[in-house]
Amino acid sequence: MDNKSAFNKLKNIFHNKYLKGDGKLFSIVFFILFLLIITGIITEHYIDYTRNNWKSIISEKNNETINIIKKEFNEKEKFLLYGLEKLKYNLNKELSGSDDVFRFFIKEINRKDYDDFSIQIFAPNGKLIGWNQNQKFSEDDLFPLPSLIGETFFLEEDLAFYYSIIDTFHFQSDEFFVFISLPIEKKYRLYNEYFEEISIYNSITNKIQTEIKIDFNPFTSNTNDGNKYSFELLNNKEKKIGLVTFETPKLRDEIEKIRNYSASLQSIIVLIGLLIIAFGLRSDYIKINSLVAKFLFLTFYLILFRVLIFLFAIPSKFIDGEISDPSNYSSTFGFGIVKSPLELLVTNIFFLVICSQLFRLTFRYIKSDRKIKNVLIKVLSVILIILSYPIVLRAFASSLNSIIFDTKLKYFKDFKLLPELTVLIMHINALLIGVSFLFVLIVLFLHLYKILFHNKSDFKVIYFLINVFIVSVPIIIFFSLSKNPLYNFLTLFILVFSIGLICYLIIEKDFEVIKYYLIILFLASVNSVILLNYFDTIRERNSVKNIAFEINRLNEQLIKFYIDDVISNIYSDHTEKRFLLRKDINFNALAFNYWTKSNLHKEELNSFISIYDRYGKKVGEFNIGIEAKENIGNIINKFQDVYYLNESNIDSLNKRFSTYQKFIEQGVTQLIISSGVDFEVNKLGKKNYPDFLKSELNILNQFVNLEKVKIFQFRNNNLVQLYGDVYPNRQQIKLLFETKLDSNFNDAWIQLKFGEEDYEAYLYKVFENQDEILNVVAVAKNKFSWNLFNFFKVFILHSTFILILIITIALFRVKRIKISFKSKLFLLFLFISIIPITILGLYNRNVLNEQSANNIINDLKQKSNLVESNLMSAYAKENLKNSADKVFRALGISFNLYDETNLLYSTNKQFFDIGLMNNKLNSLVYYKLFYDKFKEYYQIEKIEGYQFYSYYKVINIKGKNIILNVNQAFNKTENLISTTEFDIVLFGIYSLMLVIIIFASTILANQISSPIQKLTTAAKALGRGDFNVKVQHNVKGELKELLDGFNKMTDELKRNQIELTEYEKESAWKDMAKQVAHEIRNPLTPMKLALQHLMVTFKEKRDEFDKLFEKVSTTILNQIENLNQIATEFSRIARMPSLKIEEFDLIKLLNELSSIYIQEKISIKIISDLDKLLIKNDKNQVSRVFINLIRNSIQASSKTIVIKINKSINFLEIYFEDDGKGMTKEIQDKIFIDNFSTKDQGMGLGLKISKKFLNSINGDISLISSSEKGTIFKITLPYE
Amino acid sequence: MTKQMTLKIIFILSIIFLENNFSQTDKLIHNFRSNTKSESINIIISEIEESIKQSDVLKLSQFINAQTYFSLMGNINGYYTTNQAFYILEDFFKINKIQLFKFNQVNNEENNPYATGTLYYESKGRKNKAQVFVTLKRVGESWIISQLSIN
Repeated sequence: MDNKSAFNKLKNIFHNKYLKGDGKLFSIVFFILFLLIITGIITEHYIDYTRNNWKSIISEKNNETINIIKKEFNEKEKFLLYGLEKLKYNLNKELSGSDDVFRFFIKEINRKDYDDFSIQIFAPNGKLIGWNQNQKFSEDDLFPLPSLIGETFFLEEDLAFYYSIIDTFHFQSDEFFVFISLPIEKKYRLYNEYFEEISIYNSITNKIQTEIKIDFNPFTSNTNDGNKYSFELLNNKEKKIGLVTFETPKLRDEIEKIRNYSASLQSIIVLIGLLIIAFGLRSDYIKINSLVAKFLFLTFYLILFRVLIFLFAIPSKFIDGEISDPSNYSSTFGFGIVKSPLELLVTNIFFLVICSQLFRLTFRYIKSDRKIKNVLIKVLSVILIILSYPIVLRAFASSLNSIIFDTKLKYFKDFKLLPELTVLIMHINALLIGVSFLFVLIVLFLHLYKILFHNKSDFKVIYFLINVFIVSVPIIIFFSLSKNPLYNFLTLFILVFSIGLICYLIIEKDFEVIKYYLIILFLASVNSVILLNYFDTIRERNSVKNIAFEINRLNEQLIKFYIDDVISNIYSDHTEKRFLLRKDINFNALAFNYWTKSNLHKEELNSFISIYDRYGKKVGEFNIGIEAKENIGNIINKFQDVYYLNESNIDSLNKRFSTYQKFIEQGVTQLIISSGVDFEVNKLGKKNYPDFLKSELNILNQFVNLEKVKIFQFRNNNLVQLYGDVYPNRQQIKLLFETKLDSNFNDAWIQLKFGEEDYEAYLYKVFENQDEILNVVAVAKNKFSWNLFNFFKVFILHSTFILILIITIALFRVKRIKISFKSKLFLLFLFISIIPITILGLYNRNVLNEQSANNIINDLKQKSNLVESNLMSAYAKENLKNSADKVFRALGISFNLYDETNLLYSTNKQFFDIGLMNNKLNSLVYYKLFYDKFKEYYQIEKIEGYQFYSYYKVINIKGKNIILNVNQAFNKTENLISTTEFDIVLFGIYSLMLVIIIFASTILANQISSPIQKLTTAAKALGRGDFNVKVQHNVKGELKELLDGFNKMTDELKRNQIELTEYEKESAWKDMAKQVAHEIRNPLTPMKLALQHLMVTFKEKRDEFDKLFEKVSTTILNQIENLNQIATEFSRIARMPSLKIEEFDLIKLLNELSSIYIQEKISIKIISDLDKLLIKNDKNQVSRVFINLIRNSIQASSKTIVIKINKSINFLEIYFEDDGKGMTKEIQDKIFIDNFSTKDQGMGLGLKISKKFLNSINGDISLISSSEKGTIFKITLPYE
Repeated sequence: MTKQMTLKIIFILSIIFLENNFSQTDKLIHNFRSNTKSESINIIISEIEESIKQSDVLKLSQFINAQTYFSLMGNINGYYTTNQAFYILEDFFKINKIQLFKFNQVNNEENNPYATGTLYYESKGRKNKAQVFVTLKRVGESWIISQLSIN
């Protein structure tokens, strides 16, 4: 790092000179800002236009609304007609070619394809001959025909409105009537998972966002008064069948809509603008050298981004539903920046990006040589880190605590392995929070270590432990003094251990970065899940408190409020009131419809709604757990309008209230409507409630399974109410009374034991009418298998998310990601282990499911046998109804009796009376028992979405065949182990097995792949020219032979290489000598001839001697010049081979070289400010220089090599430092001399050649120092 | 205006502001101490009435804690934390715009204080009314809403 301070760097960033960014992108940003302004102006203009042209706009809007509504109805009609055509076609097809006509007939109309329809087939004489499980209409509904054949119409039934059609089909010259109906509007509503909502009203109002009224009869007249608009609904033959009235749009609402659209558009524009700014500043960001400045820049931008999109309500404005519902999660932290699961997710993503960047930059800083020099800053940093550590830990726990408490979601009570979207998002939130905070905690730890122990070149465990100790002490003090520490010892220990482990791996080991991230992700998941589980245990505890509040919440006023609410709803719903006076009303169904929409159902109260005629005789009722009076004739005259009846039993804390309200028309009482509630602790839960009527809004069952709960109520120290199957013994009662309660809240917690199970009990005292009531709510502690299930359920979800993330990244960076041989082996082991386990698990589950089903059927069979035998004996003395009542009272078993197809008797008759269950026997059952002559038959039936087994048996009573039906809907069956419990145990154990398999696979894969890896790196080193490489191993068998063979091969190669080199040298010299001789001979020959000629001329004293002498001298001089040139040429050839210059990344090269020696148990660290360093040089030669130095260090028993690269103006200064045994002074002087070596092997040319090469490129190598502690070489390379 | 004058004006305004606040606080404390417990229940109920009328979630949230049971239109049933309650109420008032509200019946007995009333609101262009039921409970020295029903 240069000497410029971080502050100066930051200043430079914001100086105009540097902050240029991409001009084009910033132009787009200005354009976007301009668009924002334009949008606002256009919006106002559009609003003015709307105001001025409102009349014509209204007419257009009305038409739009009409089209939308008509489309909804048309779609329903189309579906109905499609069902009809399909049925007719299939009936014609099946029946015409069939011998067993009736069988195919029944089979066809009971097919799943028609589950949405109610189908009735009538014979030509009007007799009902076939129906499906949704049969609603009888012969009375057919004749007189409610509509013409082939025309659709609306039909009102007790519980719903239907779109219907009657048509005919011909078979064997007879004409049969097909009456098919599609429900379009249910009159009732159930607050549970089984309810199948059918409401055309809701689907229309959700689309048009305005109030509508649908009249399903053709006789209502239109209303068009400016505020409301009506239009007729026409059927497939263009005849009026109904009327829809809707509120005409208001100008005020339209203007608000326009403003909302405009605001949404502006939000999108702002988002795009912010993204473009990010791209525009990217180039500036990359150029920043200071890590601190880089981090601050990014953090500032991300915070600004998040705040701005929050202010513009992105993404909540665009995404509605459960994930934006604050009841699923919200917190007031950050002014609402986490006010829903979706907002929390968005905030978490930003937070994670900031934390991961912090970690990334810290990682680089830790691996670099940089340090804080200023002592004051060091001291302040240490203090800040020590103080902030416990605060960050607490913030982490608080965030997860909020995820558990500030929500109504059940993370762990829900047994589904694949959760709903909202729950899934919250799990991901928990993971993201875990990862982010873990990054921060690791960063703080690493910074502390760097500040305190930077100067220590060797890593020692003692330094690390001191660091851990310094960090742990304030944590322990902080949490010991804290009233609500949010951790227990175990959770804190695991977290601190995880942080320590990761920091140790970062400091001491040198993994690939991706491995560190993976480890952090998984450890974050483990810690998050453990904490979530811990807080959930606390929440379960708190929900026990809620149970105590609940059983005291219901007082006289509240019950009166609920009852009054029910009755006023009945009156306000039918403004004409004449509806209640219709003779054809099914008052039972009416009572049920209102009961389901009231708080009586929502809170699963034992309650009733009943209707009486003017004389006080009951004409209709729906009740659960409490029956209304049959006759109230004795109290009618006691009141004018409303009468409250309090039948509570104060002694037993039973609360029983009812209200009677007269419906008076023209001064005459027409009807009396009544509602009542009976509340008692021992009647809590689903004892009286069939499963299909349970309510998800009932607090009592929301977070704790009521079956695990025991409740006791003491009134003035006497036990008056009990829920559960145990009584507290004398000692326990004494303990309850002697426990000291909190003075403010009047509550306390104690431990109890019932049988072998431990319970945690909450005591809560209230005062009511001078009485002291002590409420005790005890819940069984979770078994280990539950905790295991809870842990793995979320951990596997997190792991799946992490794996998907990694695979996604891998897909984008496919060229860079290489799956090593070790990873392939690991995946293979995992794959072949998981498959049989999964198959086994699924098989076991299947077996258990079958076993459970068999248990249920057997149980129903046994019950039916009991009923049959008791009925036989009872029927001998009394009529059927009385004997059946007797049998029910005696056995407590619910059953139904059918006389061929019609219901004769039912212990739950009210469900048949209201129409929720059919009075007609299922036609398939009828066929099986009467045509196929089965003695018994069972099938799965359903009420709404609730499925149950239903068992049928033909019994003979007094010579008459009657069908006895016992079903699971009203008879609870106990399994030894439920499917859910089995799932929990299975899932927990199999998850544990999966973890063991992963560990075992890792170890095995490592054992097999490690020698192969060593071989690969050794081969690479050999390829680079390092013939001294050896593979160290301790394997056995074939691998041993392979590795030993390789070592032998390298020895051979080395020997051959030396011999070859010698031979080549010799050959080269010989060739050169020949060449030299040859080349020298060339000029010598003419020299000799010329001299000989001169000598002859001299001897013969010829006249041309002078001329010849000159000529010969010139010749000789030329040839001498030739010889000189020859000598120069040969001298040049004898120099080094020619260089091959290329551009390459020096840091990458050094990293590659260090990976070659990874098996040599030597750590090679490269220290540089830069990630990349491009130089132009001979890559092979440079590589040989470092290979040579590394090899020398290894041979000098070094454990660590540090290569530091410093950039200077035109040079790179590379310091090569090892911790080997060093060299003596005498040796130091000779290391660059030819053929000098301290080793047994080698020619002693390595350093000499290196020096020669470096000198040839204007670089150098020199020895800086050498001692017992190590040796330092300095290499300079030219650099531009 | 000179700089000195501006500073003086600011200083005087600050004094007035602070003095006003402290004096109000004294008055409030004095009022609170001198009222009977029944009157304080009445005050709390009227404050609750005011906050519902004005859809003032912040004001209403002072009377809410983790022991408050909510039963609101739109399937809100149960005990919620103060964090959740804030935004649940905020959303509720956003969807159902309050036109008129008044408590018809108030019982200020200390052992069982409650109030019922009728709420007129507009939602999705339709005017409607709902029944409101509020009960109070004493927790330590203060009163909190133990149940808030709007159905």
